[in-house]
Amino acid sequence: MMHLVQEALGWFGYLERGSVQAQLLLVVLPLLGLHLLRRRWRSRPPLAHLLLPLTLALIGLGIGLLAWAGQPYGLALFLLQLRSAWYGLDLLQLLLARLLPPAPLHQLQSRLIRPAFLVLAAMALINQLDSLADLALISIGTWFGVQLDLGQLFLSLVILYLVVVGSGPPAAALALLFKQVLDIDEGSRRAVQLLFRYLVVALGVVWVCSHLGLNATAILAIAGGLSVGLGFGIKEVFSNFVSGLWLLFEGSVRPGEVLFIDGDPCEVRSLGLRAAVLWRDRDNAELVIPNQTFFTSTTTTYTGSDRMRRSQVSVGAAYRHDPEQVVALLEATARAQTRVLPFPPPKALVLGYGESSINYALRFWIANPMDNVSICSEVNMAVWKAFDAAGIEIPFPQMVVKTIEPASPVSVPPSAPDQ
Amino acid sequence: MSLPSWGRLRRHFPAALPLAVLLLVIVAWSLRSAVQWLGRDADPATPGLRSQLRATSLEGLEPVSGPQLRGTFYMGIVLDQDQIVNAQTYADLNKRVDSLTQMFRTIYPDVTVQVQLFHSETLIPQLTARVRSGLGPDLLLASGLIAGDLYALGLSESVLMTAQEQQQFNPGALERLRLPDGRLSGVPLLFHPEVICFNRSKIKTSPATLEELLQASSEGLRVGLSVNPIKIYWTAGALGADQSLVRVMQGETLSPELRQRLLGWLSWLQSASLQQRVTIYADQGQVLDDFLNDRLDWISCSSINIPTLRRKLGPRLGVATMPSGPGGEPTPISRERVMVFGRSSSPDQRRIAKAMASFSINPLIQRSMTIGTFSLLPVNRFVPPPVSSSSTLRALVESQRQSNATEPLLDLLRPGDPRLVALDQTLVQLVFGALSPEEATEALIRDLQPQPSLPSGR
Repeated sequence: MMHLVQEALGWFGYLERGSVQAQLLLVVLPLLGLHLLRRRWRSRPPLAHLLLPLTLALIGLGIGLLAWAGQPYGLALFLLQLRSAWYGLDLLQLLLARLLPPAPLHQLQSRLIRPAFLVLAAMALINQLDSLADLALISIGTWFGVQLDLGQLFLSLVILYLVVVGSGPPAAALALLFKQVLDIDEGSRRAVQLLFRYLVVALGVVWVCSHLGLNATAILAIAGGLSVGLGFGIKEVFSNFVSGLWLLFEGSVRPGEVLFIDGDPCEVRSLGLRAAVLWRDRDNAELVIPNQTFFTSTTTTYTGSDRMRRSQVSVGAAYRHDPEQVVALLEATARAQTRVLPFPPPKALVLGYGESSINYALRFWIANPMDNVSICSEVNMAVWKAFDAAGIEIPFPQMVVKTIEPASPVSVPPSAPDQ
Repeated sequence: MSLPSWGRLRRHFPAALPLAVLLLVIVAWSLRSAVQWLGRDADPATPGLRSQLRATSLEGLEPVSGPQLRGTFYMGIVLDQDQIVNAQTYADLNKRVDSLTQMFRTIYPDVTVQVQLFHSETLIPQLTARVRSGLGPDLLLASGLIAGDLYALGLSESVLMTAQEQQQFNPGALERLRLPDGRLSGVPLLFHPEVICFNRSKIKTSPATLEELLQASSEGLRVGLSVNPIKIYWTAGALGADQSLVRVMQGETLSPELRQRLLGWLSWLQSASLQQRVTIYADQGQVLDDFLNDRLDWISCSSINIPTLRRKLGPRLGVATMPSGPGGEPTPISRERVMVFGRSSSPDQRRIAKAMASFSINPLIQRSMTIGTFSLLPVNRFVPPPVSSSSTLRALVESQRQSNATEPLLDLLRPGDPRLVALDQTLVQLVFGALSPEEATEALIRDLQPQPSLPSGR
């Protein structure tokens, strides 16, 4: 490792060379000027947008002059190419924005494209100053009985990162293929996608172990260490991970499922290694719930065998109206709603005789459990209008107050006057 | 007050456009000249001020007791095609270079030495890219065969050594590096002779003749040879065909006797390849690998690989000279390592490079490098290797003496010479039975003729 540090420090020795200093100044000074001008001209977008291409062209001219004069220019050209490529990434983002939604595009940019560019650029820069092939041979010591060098370690880390980050799109494509071929539902598709990702990551880890030359004994030693760790510090993490896998296989908490959490229907957005993320429609909140919560407590789901939900609204009608007429009107009203499923058919029931009204319940089925509140609202409004049109009264609570008069005393006729 | 428009200017002054163009050309030319003056020329034929100063400074090497030097110095090492490169050999190489640089730093403690590795197959493009970026090495340890080419391609600087400095070398070692103007394309550093490496647990002593070798092979000795022309050339001398090859390359018509010797060499190669325990490889790296993994017992190898082989085999490794044959002594081709001065150095780095070159040919350091590795020979003729105490060094010295006979061939060849490729292909077809010895003889006489477009080896 000390050797690596010495190598890296040695790169600064090139700064002793006038030709290297000149190339660096040729690139750095215009870019510094660009930075200052951009801050000043921020309010003039067309001009500000032209500044970078003009600066790159100016650096290119300088490099051309160096080449014409027979001076070293390769380093400046390389730095110019790097900056131009970074600018190209901005243009690529604009292009991709037409093809991809914002969230996946941001993920693609921040997790794959830009990190990959930075790593490749760093490698290319190191290769300019040194030799990557030779640096890769630097030993970083013996681990689990295996002599590791820098190249092996770097390649392993890159492969692991690519596997973890880059396995998403292929897994999604494969899951989509499965959905079309096997006609599975959306929740199953998401579960398949997640399982594929875990599988690819597991294969990646096995490949890395194999690439590093770790033998079975070393892997067993790691497993032994992990088991001790599991017993103490990371028990909960492991418990959540295993719960997540189990729930995926079981299918009760798969992405897309609708669960009843604290009285509200919530849709499962993702099932991660540690926790599930659920979306609550009522206040657009995202709930992060550890996987083992679902594993150890009762869960109410609306999407276990199908996605339909039976909803109900309650209403009261005055005593003077014929219950048969009211029931027929309620069922007809529900059937008229577009978001109420025609089958199973809506059903109105007389629940009982209240103090002010006869109480009815209108039960109907909807396709998406997350729409329950809005559909109930629509049905309630339709019921009010239907009752109004039919002259059916929804009575206010009524209370009959009967006043009982006390008995009158015997009246004595007034005495006559002296006649 | 406003500036006059271009249209008004043209109306009042019709010659404005040509004058503006002329002004631009003058400005551009002045800029170019300024940049050239500040830096140095790419074309050695038209040296700028810096180049002239630098050329002056390359008169002679820096004396070891010179003024104090400081800074980072980049030393490039060119690895041979058959040199084993892995984490272990890389660490060994760094260790060996460290031992040299540590000694150097006892005199110049403020100098930091950085090592860059180059591979012989990709040396030219790698070095071209580095020089173009101003990131080339200050001193390059390369094969003596390629030093002239590097200078001709503008990738290195020449050096003019003083008469006193030149006296330290055998004249032959310097002549191959001499440029037409009398300067040198590099400074000789050391030799890596070609020898025989064998497993002592399988055979006590190496066979002294080719006949004994085939006899030992028939009794169980597993022999590995590379068909690479440079590696197999020692058999040509042992079978008397070396002069035939040189004459063909010089464009002479072979006498019947020389043709017969050439045929005899090729016939021996083919019959050897038919032996059950003689394996002829296309790649020397594979020969070394099989020897390291106990699949071969006797191979020809460059002394540069001795440390790697010794680490694996320990005292079981035997080193000997090539067997002689009916044609006389073998003709192994020894590799000369030279120090070539880079073109990207700052003035201080150039001075450090010269100091390092001067330091490296110092008799004390030459002796130290020789007995420190037992895998190389000094170029300084005032440093006699201690052959009485080391059989390995004795074999190296003997092999180096035998290699003097290959100088006529080396004078005719350059790295990348298409005739080497033709020779390689013919030998491969011969040992795999695609060509008969007679057909191979005709092919060699046809393909090894001098090619007018090729410059001389010197």
